[in-house]
Amino acid sequence: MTATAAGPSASAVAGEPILRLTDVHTFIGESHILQGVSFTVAPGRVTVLLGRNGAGKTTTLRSILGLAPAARGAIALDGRDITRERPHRIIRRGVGYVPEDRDVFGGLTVAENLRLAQRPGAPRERLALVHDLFPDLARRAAQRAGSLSGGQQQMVAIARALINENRLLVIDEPSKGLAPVVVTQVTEALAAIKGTTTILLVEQNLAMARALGDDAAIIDDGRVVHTGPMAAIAADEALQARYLGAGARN
Amino acid sequence: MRGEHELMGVHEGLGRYRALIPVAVLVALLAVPALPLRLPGLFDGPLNSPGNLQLLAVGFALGIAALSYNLLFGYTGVLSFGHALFFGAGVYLPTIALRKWRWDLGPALAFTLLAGVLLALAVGALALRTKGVYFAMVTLAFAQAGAVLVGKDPGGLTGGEEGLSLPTRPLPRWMVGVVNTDNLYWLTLAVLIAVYLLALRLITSPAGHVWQGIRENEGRVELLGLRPYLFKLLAFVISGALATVAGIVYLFLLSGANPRAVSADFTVTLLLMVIIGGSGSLWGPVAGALLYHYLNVRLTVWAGTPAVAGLPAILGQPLRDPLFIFGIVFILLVLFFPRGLAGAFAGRRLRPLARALGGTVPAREPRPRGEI
Amino acid sequence: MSTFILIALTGLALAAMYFLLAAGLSLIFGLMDVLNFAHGAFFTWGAYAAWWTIGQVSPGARGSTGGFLLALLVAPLVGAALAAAVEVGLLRRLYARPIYQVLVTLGVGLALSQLTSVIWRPDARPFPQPAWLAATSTVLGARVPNNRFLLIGAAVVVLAGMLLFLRKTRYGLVVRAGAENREMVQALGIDVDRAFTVVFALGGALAGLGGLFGAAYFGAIDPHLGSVNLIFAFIVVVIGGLGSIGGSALAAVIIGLAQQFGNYYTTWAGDFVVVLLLAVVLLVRPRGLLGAKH
Repeated sequence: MTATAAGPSASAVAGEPILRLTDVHTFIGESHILQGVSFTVAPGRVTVLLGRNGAGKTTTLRSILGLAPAARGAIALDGRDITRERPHRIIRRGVGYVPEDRDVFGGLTVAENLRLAQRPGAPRERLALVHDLFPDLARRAAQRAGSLSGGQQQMVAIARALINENRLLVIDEPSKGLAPVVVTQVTEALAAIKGTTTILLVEQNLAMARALGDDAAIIDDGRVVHTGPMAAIAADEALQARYLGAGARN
Repeated sequence: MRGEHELMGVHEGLGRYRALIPVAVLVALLAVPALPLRLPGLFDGPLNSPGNLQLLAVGFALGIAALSYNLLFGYTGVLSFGHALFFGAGVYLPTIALRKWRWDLGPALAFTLLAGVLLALAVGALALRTKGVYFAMVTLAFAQAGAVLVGKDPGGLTGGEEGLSLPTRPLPRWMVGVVNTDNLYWLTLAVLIAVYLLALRLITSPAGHVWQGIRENEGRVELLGLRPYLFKLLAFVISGALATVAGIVYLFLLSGANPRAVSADFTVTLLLMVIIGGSGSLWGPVAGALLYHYLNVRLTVWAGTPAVAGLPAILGQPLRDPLFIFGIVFILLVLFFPRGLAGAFAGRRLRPLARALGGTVPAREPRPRGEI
Repeated sequence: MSTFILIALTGLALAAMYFLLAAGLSLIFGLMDVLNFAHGAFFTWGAYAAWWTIGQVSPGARGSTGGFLLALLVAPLVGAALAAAVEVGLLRRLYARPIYQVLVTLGVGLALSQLTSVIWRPDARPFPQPAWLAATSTVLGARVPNNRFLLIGAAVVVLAGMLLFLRKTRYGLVVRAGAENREMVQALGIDVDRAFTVVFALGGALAGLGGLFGAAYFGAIDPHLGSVNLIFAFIVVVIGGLGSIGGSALAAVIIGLAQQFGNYYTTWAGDFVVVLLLAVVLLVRPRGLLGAKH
């Protein structure tokens, strides 16, 4: 049951997936949150993780990053097992993370947020690239990130992930809590980098998911229940009603 | 969870006699003054010699203090470093009232208790405006103010570093002198039992349940519409008042007040007793206090024996320094036996014993979860 | 006037010593949420290390300048080494159990302080310092011991150094970010564990340095030197605002001066005024003078 193997569009992509989850189980305290999650992320594509609130989407991302270590199963990045690795090692393998709720450092300036995220050895021109993508951030470099609007903070969070050359971007609900006009901006920014890098995206906003996603996996109750091309899921209202329910927004 | 323990109790042989265990312990303790038992190496001379009775009774008094501290630490999840203040009030106020102001015993004790409650109310009301480590530091600072006040001897009231001896004149005759050590022993034991029963009543009361709720998750208690502040203050005041009671019996046993009783080190010692005994039960800290006091006294005795005196300095010197050993023990306990004696009992066949003695034995680590 | 100057300078020197302790405490708490009760023991060990070093270089009641300069190196190193050992050996195992971390630092503080008494006997020992340091200078008619000036100077240098460290270095950035959100710092590929060790060692170094200057200030050392001053450092940290270095500096000055001026009137008034100040701050502004909302 893998996203790449399922759809006709996916089969066009040859070679090893960048990320492969095999039967991942994760506990948070006593709760068995992930009960066997398996899917893959193909290189150069955007894979969207869909599912209701509480289905286990964020926990899946946190397990990939080692922030909520998997108790069982295997997670491989570029064919290398990273299941037991500590978060900073996983990130240094070339993963950029944009967390839910953005989590920018409010007491640091925009420039400091970016400087902190920049890993040693990251090419300097990435900063220019980020500033091209978000001109607003260049203007507000000396401003405290805590004083920015929600949309601007989201841009800082995405910029932090883009400032390094990554194999994989992991983005958790970039539209959450943002005004529709800002969601459009964020979507456009992500669309601009689509194709240049591989993305694993959790998103409840179906319009955004449809605009960006190539492949999709649906999580329900801690298991992957469906994988396929994003376009097919976007067209299948019965599937949406069954697994996405009230959580899905158009 | 509770059901599981009861089942285990039925299956285990000890279960049937569970109710008898505290009674047996109690009878044994009451009988000690009449037992001319000799335990060479463990106790000098017969068990009922004044010296040994004194040793045990001081252990009981410290046990009361440790038990009162654990209402706050173990049951409410509040880590205070100010407990010595209230114990010290119990030690110093009666001495000052009897010696300096020449009051009678009754009024002196009534005044001390009232002062202990008010002091705990004032310190608690102020300090509980903070949480976690702030609270720890703030209570430490207040206790330090008390220690400084006592040490600097304002108006010749406290006797400074020398301390102050308790006048015998206002005391009833049965409390005075070495020959009456057994009376003091029984008195201390009686107070211990009374405090123990009161604490048992408290932790099973609705307020006690709220305390334990605060320990597990203060936010959830707030969501229930209760004000954690008030319940923590209640725990703080009760705990402080009981520490004052402990201070009073301690004073009777030592016939004098010493500045050590108000020092920050004393609070740390109480914490150590609680950790040794285990913070998850009522009896754990009492056992911890007895063990602590016993070792504190005996280690110095052992250090003086020829066997130890013959050791090279690097081995012998630490033995002469019980605080060093206790520091190490403290670290090892926290790392490897965070549940203390009570936890060790709870984990094995001795669980029914632990329950019989009135401990709530949580299945998992009963650690205080203050918001540190 | 000369009395006023003397008291003010003595108070500032005391403030400097409190600041050296409080800065490390505040830094450690800011990043790691650990209330470090072993900090006083690092201070004591810094003092003993300095005393031992000076005694080795120049036996006798008067310390040499060379010995003192060497001690200036050894004391913070000993503090840093002890702190790093405690962090790696003990605290790291307990990050999931904050109260037990506090308890372990308490045990370490107890054992380490007492170890000085085990090794060097419990009684106080005079602290030998070079003649120029113990000598007095006259400022506006007040005869002030030179070590007061050195202490104040050292604290100013440390304050400036810490502000630079926090603002300008990558580790400083990690510390400031880590105080806000440790997990996100990890999620940016930064080894937080190593940052913890570095910060803990840095705090230990400051405490060790404080121990050296504290020994010079008091002119004597004993096993309880650190634990006594730790309590005032705690008060400084609470009044200044946990995690704020500037707040610690400000509060240290207030506390040091209040204590010295209070003590001028009666022997116990100083300490009492300090606790009174603490109570007022708690009532009016529980997060401290410069503390962030929490």
